[in-house]
Amino acid sequence: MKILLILPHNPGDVLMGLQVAKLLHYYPAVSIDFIVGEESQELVQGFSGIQHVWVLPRKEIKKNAAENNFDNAINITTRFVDQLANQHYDLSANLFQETYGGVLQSLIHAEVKIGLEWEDGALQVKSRWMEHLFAIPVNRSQNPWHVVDIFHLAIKQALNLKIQHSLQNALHFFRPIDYFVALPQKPPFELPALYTVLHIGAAWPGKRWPLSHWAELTYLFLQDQQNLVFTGTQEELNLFDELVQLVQPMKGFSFQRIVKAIGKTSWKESAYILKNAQRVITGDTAVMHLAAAFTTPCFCLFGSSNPVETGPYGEGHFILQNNIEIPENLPWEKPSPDLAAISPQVLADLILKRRIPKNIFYWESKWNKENFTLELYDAQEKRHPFQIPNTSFQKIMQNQFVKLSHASLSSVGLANRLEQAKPQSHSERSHFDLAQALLRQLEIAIAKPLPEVLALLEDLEKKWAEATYQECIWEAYRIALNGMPMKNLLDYLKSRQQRFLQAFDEALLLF
Amino acid sequence: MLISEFHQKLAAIRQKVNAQQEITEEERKLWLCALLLEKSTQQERQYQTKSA
Repeated sequence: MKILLILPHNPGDVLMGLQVAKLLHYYPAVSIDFIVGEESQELVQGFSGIQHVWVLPRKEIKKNAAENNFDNAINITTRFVDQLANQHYDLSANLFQETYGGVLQSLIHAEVKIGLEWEDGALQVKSRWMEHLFAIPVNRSQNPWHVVDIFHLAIKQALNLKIQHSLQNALHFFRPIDYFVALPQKPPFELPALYTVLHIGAAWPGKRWPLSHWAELTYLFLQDQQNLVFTGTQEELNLFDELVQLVQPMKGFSFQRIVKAIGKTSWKESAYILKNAQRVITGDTAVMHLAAAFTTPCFCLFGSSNPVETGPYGEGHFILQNNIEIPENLPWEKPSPDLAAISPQVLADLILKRRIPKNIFYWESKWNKENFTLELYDAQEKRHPFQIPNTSFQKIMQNQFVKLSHASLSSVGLANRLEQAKPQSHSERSHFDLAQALLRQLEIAIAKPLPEVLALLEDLEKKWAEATYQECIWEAYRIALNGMPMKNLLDYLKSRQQRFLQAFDEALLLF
Repeated sequence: MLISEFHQKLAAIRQKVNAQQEITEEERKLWLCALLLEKSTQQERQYQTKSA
């Protein structure tokens, strides 16, 4: 089975894409190609589970355009697309969320396509799972899955793959490290036998722990005779200099146990350092995903991003978080007060004295061996609140989607179910009355697609969405509507009715 | 091709896109090229993840 993964994005996202590629290798006879951007090329080429790496030549296209050579820019784009068009895939999974991924997907030949795609004059999100991925920002607390798991579930559903025994066994001794054999490369400087990696930078201010906190943590670790290796990019060299200025005046400080690897390593050399570390301390960064790929324990500081969605993938990683309610727009552009609220002493005590943090959220990642998804647990073995409320949601997505793809829904069938449900309370009755009014309005809209009829339909949909409080389901429905071609109004309304009934059914089962 | 001609072709494609009309393979390649030249931003990603 030949699969194409499209994710020409930043290294962190690409590393999550590679985790999906690794999971897919537990299904028989799978061959995977990967479309990547230049910035993440080295990572994908070092992953032995990829058959062919297609590198999107964006820099070359930009260079030609900057020199006003637009013919060349178009020719380079065309050459890249034509090479791809010569391939034939069983599945093309576009895991990328920007428009150009959707246009690129439209030019690829595959039996099945999932993710964003330009088709019939609209950008459509193929696959209900991928619709869910796009809908998450509307209410992050209603998503219980890690992004890698959503990708995996979407692909599995598209190809109708069944869980294999080998996958079940594999999760007991999950070793993604086996697929990264070509990646690590020893750097040209000495490393101690045992060491902790401190990755003090991050691409966004909202993901950076304050430098004064890093300085205090450095001091606490040095006092405990720990060896430290500092990693980061050349642009982050100044952060290290500032940190040294803060730590140097502290009593008994010496450089003896410090290795400054910042600005000195390629991705391959960073991989070597991370693979051989005792542990890695980092914010929500690409280095976190790379360390997780090597199963090195990560201690992660999360501020304005959500570890349920994009935490370190795999078992045995630890996350500290001051606040689990993440704003929908992920305000990474400004420093996060919640990150600053995580104390260096608490982190040092956790690692060096195994003292469980109090008054702060603390999560450990573990596999759910029944569903093959990643979950976060606190010190009392309680699951992350986003992953508790609707285990039923998981079942609905997994079971219901299969049912939906095989059986056709009808408004009559749904109306019967509503009657059988026998609402008990006043609020239940009002929800059910609203649901029945909606079903009637849908029938009216199909028969008479007049603007005032459609406006009333939309009004009722909004009321029902508010009443059921299933925002992700309704956002996914609206995303699906955005991708529906409107050339033929009757066809559009029929498609809308089908998709509405699906959303309605999902929300009803959770209600 | 001059920058003016490139933008002229692109404007015609965008007009079709906004009108939800199908566009040819050649037009999609030019559109892809233009999108690759745009600056990729966090804002753009957020726009994409939220329905209009």
